[in-house]
Amino acid sequence: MDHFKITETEIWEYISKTADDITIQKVEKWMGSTDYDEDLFNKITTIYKHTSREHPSVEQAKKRFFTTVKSKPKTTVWKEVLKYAAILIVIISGTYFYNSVSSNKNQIVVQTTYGEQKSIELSDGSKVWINASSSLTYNSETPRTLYLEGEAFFEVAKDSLNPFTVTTPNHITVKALGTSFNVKSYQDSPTTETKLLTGKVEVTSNIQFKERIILVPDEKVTFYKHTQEVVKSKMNHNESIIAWREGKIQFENISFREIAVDLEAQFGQQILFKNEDIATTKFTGSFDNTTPIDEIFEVLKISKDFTYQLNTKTNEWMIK
Amino acid sequence: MFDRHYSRLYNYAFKVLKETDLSEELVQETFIKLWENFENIKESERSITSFLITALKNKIIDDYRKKQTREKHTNLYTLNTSIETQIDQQWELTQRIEDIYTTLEQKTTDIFKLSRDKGLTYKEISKRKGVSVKTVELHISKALTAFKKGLKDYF
Repeated sequence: MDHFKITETEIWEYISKTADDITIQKVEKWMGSTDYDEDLFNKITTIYKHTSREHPSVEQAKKRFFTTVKSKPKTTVWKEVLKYAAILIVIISGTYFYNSVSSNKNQIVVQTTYGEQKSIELSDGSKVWINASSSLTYNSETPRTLYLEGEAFFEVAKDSLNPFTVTTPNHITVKALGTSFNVKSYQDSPTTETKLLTGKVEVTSNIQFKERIILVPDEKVTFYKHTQEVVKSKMNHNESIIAWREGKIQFENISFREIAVDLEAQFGQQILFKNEDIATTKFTGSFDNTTPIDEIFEVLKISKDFTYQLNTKTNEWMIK
Repeated sequence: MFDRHYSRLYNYAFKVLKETDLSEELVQETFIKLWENFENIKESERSITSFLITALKNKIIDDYRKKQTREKHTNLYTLNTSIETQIDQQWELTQRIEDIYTTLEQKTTDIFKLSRDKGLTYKEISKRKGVSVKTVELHISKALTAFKKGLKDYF
C-alpha cells in the first residue's frame, strides 16, 4: 500500500482551489487512504472559511453615505463644514427650451447622452452633476444663470449678491441664494417637479403660474403641464434621496408612463404604450442603473402583467 | 475615516448576515448614526471604533428580531441560538483573525493573502513576488501554523 506524505501547504492549495491536477489527485488519494488526517483537513478548511474576505465597493458606499448625510439638515456638525446653504431638487420638463436661450458666442453647452453622467465646476465655484440625456446651457460670463433640460444636481457656491437661477424648458425658474440643489427637466414627462431638501428656494414662472412659491425643507412643488395646476406638498423620506447620483433608477408609486421617461434617458430607447391601463399603472422600485432594461421590465411584470417587445429598426419598445 | 472602517465592518456584517445587500444597508445606517452622534463621541480612534461596532451589533440584533417574528415558524434552529452570543463571537473571531495577521511577518501576510483573497497559485505568487515556489510554500506553511494555533478555540 502507498504511504502518503502530505504537506499542509498541499492541503491548503487543494482547499483554496489553487492546486494543479497532480496535487488534487495526490490530496484526494490521501483522503481515501489510512493516512488521512481528518482533523487536520477540517482545521485547514475552517481556516479557509474564517479568513474569507468580501471586497465591498468602499467608494460607492462612501458616495452613498455622503449623499445621505448631506440631505439631513439637522446635524449641526455638518452646518459647520457646509459651504453650501441648501439642497434642492427640481424635476422639470417641457418643450420650448431652445427658444429661451439666446445665441451668444460665450454660450457654453454641456451635454450628456443616454446612460452618461458628467460633473463640472462653474467659474464661481459651484458644482454641477449632470444626469443622463441632459443639456446644461449658460453664458460663461454669467455662470449663475443656467438653462437646463434633463436633470442635474447643483451645489451652489455662496454669493448673496448674485442669485443662482436655473430656468427650465417650460419657463419655470428656480432661484436659490447660496444653495445646493438638483434639477430634472426631461421633455416627455407630464409633470415638472421641484424638490427642496435643505435651505430655501423660490420657484416662479413668467408664463405658467403667477404665484411665487417658497419651499421649505422636505417640500416639493409639482406642476402638471396638461392641467396647468401647481401643487405644493410634503415629501416622504424616499423622495428626498437623489437616487441617480448613487447610480440608481428609483421610483415610488409612479406611473409606468413617467417611469418610461427615466428609462428612456438612461437607455436611449423610446418606450411606447399600446395599453393605457399599463401606462397608468403605478410602480415602486429601485434598480442599479446598470440593470438591463428588459430585466427591469421583467421585475415590473411581476406586479402587473404586460408584454414588451423591442422594434430593432426604430429602437423602440412596445408595451402591451 | 470611512475608508478605514468600512471594509472591516462590512466584512463582519457579511459573516453574520451572509447577505450583501443587508450588510451594506446596516453598515450604511451605522455610519449615519455615527454622523448624527459625532458631537457626543470623544474623537479618539478607539471610541469611534467601539461606537461603530456597538451600533452595528445593535442594528443586526434589531434586524434579526424583526425577521424573527416573521420567520418564527420556518426556522427553528436560529430561534434557539442566541443571536447576541452569536454576533459577539463572530466579532471576537474577526478581531482574532486580524490579530493573527499582525503577528505574521508582512511578507507572510502578503503571500498568504495573495493565495487566500486573490486565489493565486503558488507558482503565480512566486512569479509576482520574485521568490521561489519553495519560499511561497514556506510562508503559507508559517501562516497556517499561526492560524492553527491562534484559532484553536474555534476548531
